[in-house]
Amino acid sequence: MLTASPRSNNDDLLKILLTLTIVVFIFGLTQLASQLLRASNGETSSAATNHAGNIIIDSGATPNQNELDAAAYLADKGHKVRLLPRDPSSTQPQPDAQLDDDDFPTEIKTVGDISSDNIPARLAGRIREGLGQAPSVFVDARKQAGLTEDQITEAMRRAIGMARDANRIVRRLHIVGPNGTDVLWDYPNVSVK
Amino acid sequence: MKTRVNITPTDRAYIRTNLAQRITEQIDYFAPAMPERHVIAWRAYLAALFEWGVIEFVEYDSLLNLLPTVCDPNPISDIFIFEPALSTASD
Repeated sequence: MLTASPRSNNDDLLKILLTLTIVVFIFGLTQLASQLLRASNGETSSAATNHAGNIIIDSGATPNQNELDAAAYLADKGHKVRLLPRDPSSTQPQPDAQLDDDDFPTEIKTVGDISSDNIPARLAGRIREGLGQAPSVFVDARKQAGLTEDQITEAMRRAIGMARDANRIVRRLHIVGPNGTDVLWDYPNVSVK
Repeated sequence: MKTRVNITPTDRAYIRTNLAQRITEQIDYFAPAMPERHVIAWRAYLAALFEWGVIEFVEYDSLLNLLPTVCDPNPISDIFIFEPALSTASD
């Protein structure tokens, strides 16, 4: 008959505890090293990293609440959003963000206060402003009352058409409106719904 | 991106071929240089077709490539987006 000795059981328990302690210690060290590496690269994590995607705020970036809200929206949709630093002394365009593995930056615009009865024209104007900063523009218009998908499409066509006629490159336009409206245009493929 | 008119890809291909032929004929006729007012007229015509979804970016882009550019101030910009404070118009 096999009987377990109490001493052998205690040894096994100690070994298991020791192994668990080592595993937890190594995991902790790995996390600490990762944080230190990110900090040395000038990156800081933020509460926004709780989103499905990922938001990285570069050292020197000064995003306002509207930009953070827009970044959170994009992160929730699975994008990796990197908010870029600003140089207050520079007169060059300073785009707000870089998305995913894009090789071009994205300008973030927030629209919510258009009171004109010609919403597409004013929205197109905001896109034009954004295109002055970057070849890709994301417009967060979720708070723009009365904005429809047709109006977004009209504004996008006007901005894209104007830019192309002036030989300026538009890489991407992405506009989100109220009630879940989300319209994306990517160069050179035009999707038709 | 949504379109407002029901144009099939076949229709768009036909429109593109048709317009490319007409533009090329005029480029040849006016050689060595199409007058700028004709260039502006063609660009405005194409701008309308693109804005209202008769042609898509691929066709618009390829047709614009056939035409000379327009010097600033370019009235086409004002047709697409007219903001008096930002207008490029000289008058």
